Amino acid sequence: MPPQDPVVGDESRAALGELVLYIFKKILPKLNQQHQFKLPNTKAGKSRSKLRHGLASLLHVGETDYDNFRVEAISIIIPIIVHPHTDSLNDSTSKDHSGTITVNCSLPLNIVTNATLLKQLKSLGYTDTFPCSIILYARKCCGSFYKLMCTLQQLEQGSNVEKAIVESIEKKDEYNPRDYIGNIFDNHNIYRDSFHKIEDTQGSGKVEIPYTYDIMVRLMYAICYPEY
Amino acid sequence: MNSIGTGDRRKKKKRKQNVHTQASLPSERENNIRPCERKETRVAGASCLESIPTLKLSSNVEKPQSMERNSNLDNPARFVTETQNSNISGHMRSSSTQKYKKRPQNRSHGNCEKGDRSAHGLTERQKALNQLQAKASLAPKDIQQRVPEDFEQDSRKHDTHFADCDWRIPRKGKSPQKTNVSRPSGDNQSTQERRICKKMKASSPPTDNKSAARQLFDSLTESKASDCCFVDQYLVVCKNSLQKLKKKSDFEFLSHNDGAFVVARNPQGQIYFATNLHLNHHFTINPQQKELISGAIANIKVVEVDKNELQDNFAVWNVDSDTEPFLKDIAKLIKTVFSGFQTIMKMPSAGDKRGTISTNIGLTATDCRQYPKNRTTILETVRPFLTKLVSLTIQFPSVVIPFFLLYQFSSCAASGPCRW
Repeated sequence: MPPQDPVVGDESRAALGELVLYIFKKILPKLNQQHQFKLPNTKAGKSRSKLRHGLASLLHVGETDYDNFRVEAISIIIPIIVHPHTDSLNDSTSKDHSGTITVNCSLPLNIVTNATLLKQLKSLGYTDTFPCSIILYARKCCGSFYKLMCTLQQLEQGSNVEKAIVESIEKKDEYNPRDYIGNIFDNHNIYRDSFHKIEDTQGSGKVEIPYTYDIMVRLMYAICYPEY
Repeated sequence: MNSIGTGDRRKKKKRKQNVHTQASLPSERENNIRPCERKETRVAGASCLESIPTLKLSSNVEKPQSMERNSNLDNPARFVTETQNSNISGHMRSSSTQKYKKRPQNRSHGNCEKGDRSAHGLTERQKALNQLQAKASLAPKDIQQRVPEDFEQDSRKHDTHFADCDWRIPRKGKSPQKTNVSRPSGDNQSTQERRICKKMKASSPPTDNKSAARQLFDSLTESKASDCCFVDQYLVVCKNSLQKLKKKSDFEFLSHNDGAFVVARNPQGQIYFATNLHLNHHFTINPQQKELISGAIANIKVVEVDKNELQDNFAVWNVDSDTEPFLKDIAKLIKTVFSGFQTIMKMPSAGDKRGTISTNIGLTATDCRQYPKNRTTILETVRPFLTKLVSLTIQFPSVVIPFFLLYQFSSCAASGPCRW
């Protein structure tokens, strides 16, 4: 059973969005880091931006400010103690995305309504104020996604077969409802089963693939059996 | 010698100890030695069997403690608990006994402190034992007086030799340890060996900071959240701590790095920026640990709360100007943010002294509604789920997709959700 939506008010979401924009617009230039998290104006860059826009919309950031919303993950922590570690979730694919911005401040204890949290903070000796940090960083999985998109971008410059592969992976419309990017692995057996089915019934070699078969299956078969 | 973990080695060691005990038995009988005295003799013999560094390092350690540590090797949990309150020096302490037990090969890197033995070393030691046994059989009357001293001297020679042998094994990314090994000018040491050792000494980096690093690391692992209030904390960000290490170990990120930034926490508000935190270790320390860190890490840059620090890869903003009240503005926003997000803050589990109260918002590789136990929390679903894309990135060829990759795709997908 899927869990319930977390109860986070719109006001807090909007404040978080505003905070991110404030940091990127005003503070990063002051720290000489305005180039951090910027994406090129390429197909791959736009794909990654789209993901960021999805997060921005959840934080009620206006579309006009999407370009300044360059973050992919935000952690809110109470930095009581930090043991030695490295940030394994950070994007390590490029230098321009490996930065981490942390904002610390002290908050009054009377804003805490979560009873468990309040008890924990009091047990640690925080009676009036407690520390709070907000950390902004680029996510590793988004970096990997960006790399994939860069690969597809390169393939597009190649042969017709490569172009067809890219097209079939990216294409998602009413004629090709299969969303390869999102769903190719959900029905991961379909391709293997299709090949086995063809081989079982017609034998390998020159076989006829029905047009109703998925375009990706047809392409794969064309690559594996060039004589087809 | 707390790191001798493998059963075979322990058995061998026990066998040697028994041999020595048996050798001294006739003299004991003749001199009417009581069991406690006999035990003490055996302890001396046993410690002689250990390498020189131990003898030197354990000079401040009482022998019963040393025995207790040896006996606790079978039970790492007990070992850690009992040594936490002991006054054993940093060299002898190891909070990662279990790790060493799991990876015995790590201990054969010429690290004398950890009680490493090469196969060659064991053979030499066996020879020394045999010689002593011969001595014992020839002179049973005075063995009570002679054995500890003579054996110690002989074993010193041999153990020093073992250390030298271990030294000569070139290990990439790991400096050989040598500083605590004193080299007596024994007659059996050839001039060639001395020359080699001299060369090795000249080429090896100093390892003094290694013991300080271990001491600091032990202190860090033992520290609890209640030990240090936020206002007293310092944030430490090591520079290139992982890039220098071919093989990571528990505390080497402290001794192998290009320095560190030590940033005093500012309760009034603070902004800092750092790059490559996926490579650079970072942690917080208390004022006591700050004193230790200068011994462990060279080239420390301390940033106090009264100034801003702006560098290419590291920046700290502590002081607002009149025209740019960043910290004030941010504090207001964070207050509003926290009011709403505190409902989804994750508490550390009971007994988890490393846990931090936190919540993570953002793009994730998995659908956290489907897998609610994930540590990442997203507000709503942002499609597509990236797990599949990441898998595809790994498997995607540069030119064309071969047929067999279809099966790899399917195995990837079947492996279930990844936690990124």
